[in-house]
Amino acid sequence: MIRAKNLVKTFTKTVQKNKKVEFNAVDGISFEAEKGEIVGLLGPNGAGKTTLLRMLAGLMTPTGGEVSVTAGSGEITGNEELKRHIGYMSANTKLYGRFSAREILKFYGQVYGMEDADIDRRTDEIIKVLNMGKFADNRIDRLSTGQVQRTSISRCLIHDPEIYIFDEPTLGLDILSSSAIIDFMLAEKEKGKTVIYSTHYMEEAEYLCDRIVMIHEGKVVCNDSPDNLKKETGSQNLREVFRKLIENKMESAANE
Amino acid sequence: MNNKLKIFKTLFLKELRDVLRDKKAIMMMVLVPVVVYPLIVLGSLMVTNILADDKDTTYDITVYNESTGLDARNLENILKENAVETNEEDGSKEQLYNVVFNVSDTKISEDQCKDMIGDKNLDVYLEIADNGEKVEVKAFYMESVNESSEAMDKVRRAVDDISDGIVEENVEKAGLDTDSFLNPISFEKKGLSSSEQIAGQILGMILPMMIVLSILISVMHPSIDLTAGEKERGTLETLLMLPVSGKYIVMAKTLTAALCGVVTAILNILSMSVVFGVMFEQLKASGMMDGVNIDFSSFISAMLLTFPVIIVTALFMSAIFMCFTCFAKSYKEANSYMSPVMMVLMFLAYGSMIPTVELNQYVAVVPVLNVSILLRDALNFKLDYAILLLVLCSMVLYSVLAILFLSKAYNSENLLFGDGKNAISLFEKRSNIKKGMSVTIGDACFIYPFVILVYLLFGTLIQAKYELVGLPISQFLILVGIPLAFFVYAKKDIKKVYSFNKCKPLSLVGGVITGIGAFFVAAILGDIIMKVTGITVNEGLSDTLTGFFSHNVIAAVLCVALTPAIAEEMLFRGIVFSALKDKVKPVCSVLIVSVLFGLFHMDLLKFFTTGALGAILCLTVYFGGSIFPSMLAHFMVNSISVIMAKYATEQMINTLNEPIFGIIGFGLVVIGLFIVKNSNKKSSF
Repeated sequence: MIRAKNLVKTFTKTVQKNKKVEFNAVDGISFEAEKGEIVGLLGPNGAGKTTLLRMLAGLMTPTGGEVSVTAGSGEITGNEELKRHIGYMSANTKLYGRFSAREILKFYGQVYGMEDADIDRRTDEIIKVLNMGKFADNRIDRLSTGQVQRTSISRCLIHDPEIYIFDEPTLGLDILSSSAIIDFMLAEKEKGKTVIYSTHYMEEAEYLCDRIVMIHEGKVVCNDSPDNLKKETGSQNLREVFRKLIENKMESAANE
Repeated sequence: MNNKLKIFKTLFLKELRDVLRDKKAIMMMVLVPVVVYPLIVLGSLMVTNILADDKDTTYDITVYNESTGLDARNLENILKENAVETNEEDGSKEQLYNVVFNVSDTKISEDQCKDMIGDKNLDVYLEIADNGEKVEVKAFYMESVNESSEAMDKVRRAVDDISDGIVEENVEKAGLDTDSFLNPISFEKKGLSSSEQIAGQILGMILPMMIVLSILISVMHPSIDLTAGEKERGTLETLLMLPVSGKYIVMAKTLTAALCGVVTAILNILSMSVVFGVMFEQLKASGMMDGVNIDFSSFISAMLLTFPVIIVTALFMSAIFMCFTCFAKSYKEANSYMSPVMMVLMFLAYGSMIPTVELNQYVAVVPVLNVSILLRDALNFKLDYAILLLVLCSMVLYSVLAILFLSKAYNSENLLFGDGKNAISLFEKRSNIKKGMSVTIGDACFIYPFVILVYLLFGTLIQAKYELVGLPISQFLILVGIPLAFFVYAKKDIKKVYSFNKCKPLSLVGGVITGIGAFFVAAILGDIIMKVTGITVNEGLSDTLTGFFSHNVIAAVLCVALTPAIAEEMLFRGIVFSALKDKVKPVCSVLIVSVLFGLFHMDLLKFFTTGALGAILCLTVYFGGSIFPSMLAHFMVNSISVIMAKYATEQMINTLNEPIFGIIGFGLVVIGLFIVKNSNKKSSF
């Protein structure tokens, strides 16, 4: 289980020359994702999704609030320990082009402190599950986008984490590649893993997620199951829910 | 620790593999030293050969003669004679250049002369006239035209020859002895430098700069690629998801880039040796090196000694480069950051070309310049071990500082997500430091070179000024004071750092016995090394010591024996050994401490003797679990040396060098260590 408690991240941005303004990219967000749950993070561009996910993954230190993770035997403390239990992937976590998928998996496995025999066994498993056999020994800079994305996912899997954090994992993929990733997430959920992921594809989120957290300008707008959200807002689908909730917010902000 | 070491190894191998699969890096690493440099040298050699072989030069000389004292034909003959060189051995003749000699009936004006030289119709125009008793020769030429000024030199030589002939004739006419009259003083040069020294001097001008530059070039690409390149390719965030501290990532990167530099430097040295070897053989075959015989094996020791220098240089460069490149977002941006850094480093590398820059202790702390001059001195057979140590220490210190800075940068999210311009504080805030930690290897890596640097720079000054009292002042102030200040700031557990643990009186007795034994062992070892290798004691060093001993014995014992026993023990068996003992195998930590201790004494012979001593003292701390027995042992060794130096006769010293004393000494050491170990065991129960 992973819980965000009142998370705040403040950045300074230079507005004009020598004039700096502080703003909260993430402004007091709290939510949690249980074992065996897929939580979808929705929000317009610049809502603070990536910053939030980076803080959850331990890549960024929050300005305020805290992330607590319970995995395996209990509460996880310390950034390095946290990273051992999280598999994080985003558009910014690219892979070394001069290595093959198998080499990448071996390298990451070794740094996670796994035994060589375990790494080999797990690598074969992953390659089978993600159907990577054809290209597992080719250099990554010679692979197609879908193949690279599958390799990226395999990289998160090697240390068998309890929590997955994916930032737009299906972005720019064809239907075949993205459904492979969706199937994978569902399968992990069945195994009792926690998945938090962000996306702009509403249908996909509706199909996959047990719960939807919508954020806008660093704040949580709603946090409920897709069905409840549709009922509450009287909408046909998630796309409508999104437009109603977010557009409301934008309009009220414009009126102020 | 083992686990961390394994992770570090994995990271390092990953970076290394990444670089080795990068064709650009391989090109820089191999192409420059193996192909480009030799080609430059051979090319420039060929050009000079072509220029030297040019025998078709013809000098056009025109004369207007209205003098009766000097015959123009005479001048022509001498000019043409000078153009032919006769080999003294076989009498064969060789035409060096041609002379076309014209006698003009009319004067040529200066403007006309200029035009003719410009059109290559003329090189020198001479006007010869009488002026009373003397003959006046005016030669017109153009300094800016190469052939014209060369022709001018030939004319000058011919005129001097004629002039000499006339003087000689006159002297003879006056009935004097021409030889003693014209050459009252004979002068003969005799160069004493060996051929190796001359070759070393020439190599010393070029080779250091070449080596330093080749390291610079080969380190640059991986430094940029592994930092800014990684950021550009977007793999940095992936890497930072790993549960490892930024420190390991940074060290793996710096070591990888440094390794590239070391490989290049070695390739460079090998390829240049081949080039010089071939050149030398060719010169020998063409008979230009008659009587010169260079024993190249005499340079091997210099090359071996420069090996550690190459390593620290490569490390320094990669660490410094990365400090700049890690803030760039792309390879291109990093390249532009690198240009000013490169300029400065290249300028410093040219130091070896300037013969007036000497390697004193101040130059020795200027990075890159120190290395360049040190390599030159090594090739000139002028290597000073104290300076070598100073250079190594200062370079290591700068590298450690740069790596510290870098690991801060890699732990900071500013580097990853921000614009990277926000300041990164080098040292941890004091409020964030945990209290009572023991000393780490990182701390020791920083403190040891820093302390040694300050000690070599200022300690020697203090010792020169205050003589006997200078030793305790400098040792306590620098070797003890500086680390202590650091530890107080870092809230370290002083007792743990220095192993100030209680010990049984019996283990103190063990320390005394070990010390006495160690003295014999060191003395015998020194004697054996002196006899086998011919290395002798540095005379300056023993003079200072004798100077010390002319003082009161008690004062000498206090200053020369007691001070180092406390101060040096605290630095070496305290800080350095504490840092190592839990993290490295005992054998390795003892070895490292004794090498550092040996280096500290700045003398080749003493390196071995004090190194052995350092090992024994280390074992005393290791078995005793406290620093006091080893302090006592150190004090025993020093005070016996002091008393021996003052009172012992030559005969006594010779007797001491009998092998039996070595065996007794070794026995005493074993017994002493046994006592120390046993009494420690009892106290722990």
